Amino acid sequence: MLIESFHSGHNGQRRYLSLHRPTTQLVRSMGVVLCYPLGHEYFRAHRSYVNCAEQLAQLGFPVMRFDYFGSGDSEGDIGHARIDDWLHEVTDVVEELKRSEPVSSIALGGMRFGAALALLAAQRIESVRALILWDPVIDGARYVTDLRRLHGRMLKDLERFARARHADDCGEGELIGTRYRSRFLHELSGLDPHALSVAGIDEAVLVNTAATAASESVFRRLNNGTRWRGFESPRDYGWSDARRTTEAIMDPEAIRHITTSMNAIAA
Amino acid sequence: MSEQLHRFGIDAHLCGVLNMPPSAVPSGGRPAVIFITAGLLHKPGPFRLYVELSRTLAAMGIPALRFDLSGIGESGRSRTGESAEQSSVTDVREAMDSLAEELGTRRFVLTGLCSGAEVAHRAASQDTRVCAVVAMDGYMVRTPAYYWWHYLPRVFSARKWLDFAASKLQRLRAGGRRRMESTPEEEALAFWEGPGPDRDQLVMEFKSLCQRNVRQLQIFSGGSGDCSYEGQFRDAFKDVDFGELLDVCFFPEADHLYVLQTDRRRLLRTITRWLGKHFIDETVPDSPRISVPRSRQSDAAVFMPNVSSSMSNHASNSTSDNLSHSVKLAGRRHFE
Repeated sequence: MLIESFHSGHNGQRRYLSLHRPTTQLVRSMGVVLCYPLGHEYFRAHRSYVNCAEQLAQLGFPVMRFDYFGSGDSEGDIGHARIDDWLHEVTDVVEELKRSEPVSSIALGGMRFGAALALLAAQRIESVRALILWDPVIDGARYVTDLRRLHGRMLKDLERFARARHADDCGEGELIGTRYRSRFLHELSGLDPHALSVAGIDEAVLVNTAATAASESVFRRLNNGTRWRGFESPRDYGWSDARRTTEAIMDPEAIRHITTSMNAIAA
Repeated sequence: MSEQLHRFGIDAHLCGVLNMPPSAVPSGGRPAVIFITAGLLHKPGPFRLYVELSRTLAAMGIPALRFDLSGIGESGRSRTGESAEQSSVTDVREAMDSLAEELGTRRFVLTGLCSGAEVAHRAASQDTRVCAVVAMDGYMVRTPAYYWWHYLPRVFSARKWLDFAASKLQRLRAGGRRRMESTPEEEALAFWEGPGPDRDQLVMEFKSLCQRNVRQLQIFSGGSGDCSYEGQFRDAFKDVDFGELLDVCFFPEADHLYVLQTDRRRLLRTITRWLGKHFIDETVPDSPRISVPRSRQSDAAVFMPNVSSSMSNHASNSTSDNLSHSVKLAGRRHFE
């Protein structure tokens, strides 16, 4: 399957997008836009995103993946990134997908921070009818605290480093391979479950692991009108394990849940 | 500097990003640098290392291509029926073909980390257009001294003993757990876990590269698991007369993927200075090989500004992965 990758946007701020066109005769009227997690979690999740997008395309969904400004293969540096700009990018990518493929509604989704961003963006984009929330971050402040703790543990991990490293070896705002501006971390800390409530979403697909088992109840409480299709993955992705920060996430059962749920939603 | 999407290969199934120098910077006659992905990591490289390197090199006047090997990232799977190992070399050859056609480039520097370094070595061994290899945690052989420098610090480290005990306990507990469904990625990457070429073959290949005047920058991290002291590469391949074609750099403090920005910057400086010295300041594109007596070989290793010859008590990169159903983004295999 050929993935159509391209750049879009203004010079110096161009984003990198990858479009998976449907490989079936049946082309769904619902397109899917996947938002990536942050930092090291982006690298861990990338393979699963490609697999998920390929499988959705095999079911007739046009799927768009993209790297935020300053991340992955997009231009820029994350030091200049702002969450609000990234939200605008989600809107732009949705429009890009609608221009490129004959879709009338959108499913927005992502893993971890990507799920939180999808929720936030869904508040702004009228055509979003479904959400795919894969181990979502639902409390920004706690997420940043967890990242800081994980970074601290990583510095002392003697399977990674010959000798323990110190905070002095890192720049300010550096968390597991990525250096964020304090402004960005402040914005990230500001994400909270109450701000993530969205209206007008008919369906939501949720994948939970042990780390986020509580999230489904949170979302049920906040979004009464939404039909939830939940799945408890038996896998431990090791989000808080300093020795697993360089492992790719491989969860075929979770992808199967997402694709079968999307198939049912679009039927 | 411009950053362009680059599709190439059979059925244009390979996907990369090409960084071109700004038109004001002279780049004629310089080689292009090709970055080869490691394991499951895609073309930005670990923590965008390849992005930073590509942009820096382009600004220096060197075109740089980072691309996904077949089946990785945005590249489609190879339909040639080759093994993953051989298709990686074919992919690199196709990258060189496409740049030769598009830019008129005749010489190439292959750069890779971990399995990417191994692919770079193999492709260089098979293609005479390769003029240099930058290998990060590439092929290495464990010498007797390796074990001395590797284990000695551990014997006296209480923390290491505690870690060792915890790891054994974790493996025992994991033993009884249900094995999850394996993924195509796990199966496709299994070959990296197998035995690589033996030392004799590597010696033969390194000798052949030297005969072709292929320059090499061999960089090892403390986290590689295979390198524990500065002079190990030269000790391991002491029957190869690298002369001035080899520079070796050892970062004992760095991990395998250069997770810390300070380590990444040091690595970036090392690579860009080395490439700048050999391929921007050069006056003769393919200078004849000059044989340097062994006693002077240390002079060639000028790119060791941060090297400490002190013992490196790095840990093996093996993990308690019995618990995990994930795949290391860029795992290591070991050579004895």
